[in-house]
Amino acid sequence: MEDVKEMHEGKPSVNTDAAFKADAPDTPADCAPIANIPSDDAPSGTAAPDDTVLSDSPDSDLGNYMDTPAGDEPAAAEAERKIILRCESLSKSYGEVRALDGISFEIPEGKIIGLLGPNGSGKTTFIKIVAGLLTADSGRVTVDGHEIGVESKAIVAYLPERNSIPEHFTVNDAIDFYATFFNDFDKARAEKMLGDLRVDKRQKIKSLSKGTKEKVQLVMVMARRARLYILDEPISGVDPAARDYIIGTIINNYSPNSSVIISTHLISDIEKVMDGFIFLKYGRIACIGTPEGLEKSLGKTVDEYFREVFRC
Amino acid sequence: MLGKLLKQDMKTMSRFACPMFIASAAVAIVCCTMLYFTFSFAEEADTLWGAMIVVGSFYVMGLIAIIIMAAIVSVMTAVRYYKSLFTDEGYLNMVLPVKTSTMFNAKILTTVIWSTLASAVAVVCCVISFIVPTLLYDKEILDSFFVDIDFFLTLITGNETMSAILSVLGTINTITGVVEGVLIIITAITVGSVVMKKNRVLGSILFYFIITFIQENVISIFQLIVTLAMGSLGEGGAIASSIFNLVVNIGVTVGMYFISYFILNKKFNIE
Repeated sequence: MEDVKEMHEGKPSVNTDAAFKADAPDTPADCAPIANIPSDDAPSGTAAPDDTVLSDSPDSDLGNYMDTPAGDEPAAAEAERKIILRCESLSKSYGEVRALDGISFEIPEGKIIGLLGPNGSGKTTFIKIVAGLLTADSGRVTVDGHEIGVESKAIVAYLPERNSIPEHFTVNDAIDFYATFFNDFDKARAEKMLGDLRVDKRQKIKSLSKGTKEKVQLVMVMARRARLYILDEPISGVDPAARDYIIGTIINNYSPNSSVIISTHLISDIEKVMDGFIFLKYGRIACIGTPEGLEKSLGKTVDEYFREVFRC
Repeated sequence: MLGKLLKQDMKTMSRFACPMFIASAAVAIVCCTMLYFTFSFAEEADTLWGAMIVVGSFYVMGLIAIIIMAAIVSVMTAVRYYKSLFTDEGYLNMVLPVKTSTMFNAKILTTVIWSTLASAVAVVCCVISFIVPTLLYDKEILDSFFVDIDFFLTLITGNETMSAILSVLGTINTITGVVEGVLIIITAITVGSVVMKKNRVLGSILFYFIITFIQENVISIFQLIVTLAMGSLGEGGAIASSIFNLVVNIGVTVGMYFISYFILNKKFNIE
């Protein structure tokens, strides 16, 4: 932890580019924008808060675990990355319950981000707002510069937690449906992926097993050439072999100018593919960083740290 | 996009509605036969009265079945609206890159079209079930039937011109009534699903009765006022009443549209 302290006190933990300055005042001070998560080839530096902020108190900020770039060139390259998702002071309440409490962060293109937190932490509410299924009470969300609406929906590929494909559809009907309504849907890619997963396209959705339904739905989403993929529990109901294929699909099918947000409880399965993570707790950002940054500062994996932070 | 949504919704509903329409047509053919035999048995009612009652009963049951099938199709259109937006399917439909208003309009149009078709199919089937066997058996029965209808209309309206005007207004009222009915059902589903999230179906049914109860009572009060004023309106009373109904239909339809649209646009949440 000495190393952690030194880094925290010695220099700013993250770049303070224009995007970071857009953070809302009530965002925890040490929270960093994912925009500053370095690309894989960037030299690493580590930053973390001191011990006093590493508590699991609901209102505390658990800190930043960014693997920050040390050199100017990678930092400049990072700064040039276009912001895909920008949230500013986003809040949403259900009656008395505050599901999201003024969260602010940004995600640039080319990143796979894990949105993590226990049940009721606000993950699904956040995802629904970005997907256009819910309206925020206050704050602002833009996807590639577009407010949530028709334009944003055209570039966001959303995988819900439940099977949303009508049960009376055949797999072929689902392909036709996506091809009709999403201009970025790649039919050939979908057919190839379905072939890889040995899904019979003539079968009705209602006759498929739960896992196969999830696979079909994931294929429909990942066959789009979207700018932002939002995957809510994409691997929860499938077998380990299919899980590997799905994770491989997520990595291989998104382009460098798009980003992926994955919400899951199976952290260890996706940890290896994550560029960054966000811990949500009681509707606030509890922690934000990269797996590498966390490893260097605390010597823990994201899964281990999650279990520690959210221990019941 | 409206066209694409309409095509999709129409296709989905056709899977269910078309077999029902075919079944209605089949029942209508059976009914034709039944009525023809009923006429035949009636000639010798002294000896075949039992057969006449049995076959005649089947004919009536056939007509009831046709009406029930039309009602089922209408209910199914409402169920489709509910399922497509407020169950898991909503996760797909509400993230399509279309405006909420376009999505809503497509759902309303689909529901109106299929409900109207269901009513039309039922009416046509019932009419055919009566006209065809009557024509085959004895055309005079049919002629006397229409003479009776004409006499009845003239009796209640006073003259032929009034009868024609009322017929036109009645047709328009029927069409707006169908749209109004659809919008009331859609609003009940929308409000019920949003207000009673734990039991959306019950909420929808409950709000249907609440909306209908309020609407019927408000209309009854106004209807009473119009009826009381009809004394001074003379023969135009029936037309005034018909126009009043039309205004009410349109008013309720517009009101229900905006309530549902506001909820879908601002208060929508699937859980």
